Amino acid sequence: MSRSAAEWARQPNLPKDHYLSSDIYRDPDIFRDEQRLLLEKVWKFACHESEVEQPGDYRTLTYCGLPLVVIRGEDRKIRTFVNVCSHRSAELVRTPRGNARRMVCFFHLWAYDTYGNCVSQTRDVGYEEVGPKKEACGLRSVRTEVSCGLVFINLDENADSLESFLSDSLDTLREALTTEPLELFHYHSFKVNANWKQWHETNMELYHEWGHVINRRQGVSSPGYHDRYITVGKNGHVALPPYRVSYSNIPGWEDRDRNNFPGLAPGEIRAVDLFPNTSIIIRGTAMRIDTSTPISPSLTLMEFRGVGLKRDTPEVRAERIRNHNQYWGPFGRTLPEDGFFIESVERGNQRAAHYSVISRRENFGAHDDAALRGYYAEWSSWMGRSASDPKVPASNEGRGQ
Amino acid sequence: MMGEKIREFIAKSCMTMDEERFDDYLALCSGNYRYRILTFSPDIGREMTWLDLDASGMHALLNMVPQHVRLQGKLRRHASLYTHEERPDHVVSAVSSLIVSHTALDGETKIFASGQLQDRIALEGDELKLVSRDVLLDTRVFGPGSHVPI
Repeated sequence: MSRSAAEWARQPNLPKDHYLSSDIYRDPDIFRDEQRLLLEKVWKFACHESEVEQPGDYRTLTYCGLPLVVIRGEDRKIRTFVNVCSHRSAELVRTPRGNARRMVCFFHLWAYDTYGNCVSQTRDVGYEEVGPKKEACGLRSVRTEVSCGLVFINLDENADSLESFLSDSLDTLREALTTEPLELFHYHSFKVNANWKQWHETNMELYHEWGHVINRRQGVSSPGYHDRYITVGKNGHVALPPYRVSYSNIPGWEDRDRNNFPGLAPGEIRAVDLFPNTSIIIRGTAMRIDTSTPISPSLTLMEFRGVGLKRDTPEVRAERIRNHNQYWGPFGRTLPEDGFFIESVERGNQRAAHYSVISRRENFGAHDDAALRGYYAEWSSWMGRSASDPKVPASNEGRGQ
Repeated sequence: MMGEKIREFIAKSCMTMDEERFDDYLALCSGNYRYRILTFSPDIGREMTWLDLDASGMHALLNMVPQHVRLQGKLRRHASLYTHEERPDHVVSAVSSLIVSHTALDGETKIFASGQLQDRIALEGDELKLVSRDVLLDTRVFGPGSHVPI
């Protein structure tokens, strides 16, 4: 039976944590609060340590509007600074990656070392009378910690440690991430016309796999698919238990029975979704790390990294790249579909929707919505408001306050 | 004369793909066809291979295109032959500049990709066959992506 406008707008007759208000995706005030109360407070994946392998190697990113540079110091420690010169505010490094043992501003040539110290003011005699001395002109630092080769940043100088934030969430991937040196072979990005949370919701709810023809043919129909149980861990992180997938039932594809990541059985898939916006997925031979940068309520920068073992031979690397891109490249079979799904959801949320439902219960089986409920419980704890009724003013109880 | 033949052949390969006449596209390819999409990432400082398919892989991929949830609208490939060189083995190396436009269902057209086609085309009697196509993309950001190769 169809519903009237009033019925359509009515709150679902479900427990409060089993549905979401569409306002959490479209309300600009909520988006601003997310930046202030959540995104500026929690650890954010910035890059893989192999991207800044040598002293002076750097990688730039923008997060919560701040231009940042992640750089490996002369002491091999990885640090992050706001990528803005202390003098007249020009960007310090202007390429996405590079090596700079001295970051020299291209405008007036002030220079900084890899520890963020200002080491040179051009013709410094001019500052002798009223200052500032170069010792007072260091770069703004941003907290940076590394776990399992993953480099995280936190804009909150008083935040708990990364170790505390991650808790045991990476345990299922630890062997794959740490046994051998890894390196990137793939990076691509795009701006998806959707709210940032929708991508991560899609990573966490596995029943969207019915929408992927590839997954209908192999993942969802694999033995044991529904006999595995998701783990909703501390701090909103989610781990999917391992299971094995047959790949050769897709025409032109090979089974992934060799060159798997350490600790994985042939063809095994493992995935961890780190709150609030990073996922790591391994499909036997191929690892993907994706992370988002919210730009506006309805626009999100998505970044995708493909990772291999540093010791890969050219033949093995080619196989890994092929396997990665079969699913996850810009011309892959599933990742573009995820983008089309959530852009469609965004249009629905912007124009018509009031609520969406996350009420599936399957005893924590693969298609249970427990992961989404756990995610939004964590979101609510930072935001001080419920995801089902978010227009109620944020309480002072929220952790982000 | 040869240049005109090559230009028409490359145009045909683009038109068959534009119109999603995949069997006609595949009929232009040799049995040992190799298709790649390549691009360089300044983000990681590496050449990336986004697709690498042989003839059967291309056939399998194109066969499944209608079953995917796809980019709606139409892609149109605009290839301009820049250079061609016939080698002693009767294989022509051809370089074309490429622009791909996307027209959405509402009629709005945007540039989808910019790059270059590097083709190897065999002269088999009176027929031309595409031996390999490397699509060298400058564009690395496409929105969610495409199930149909360039």
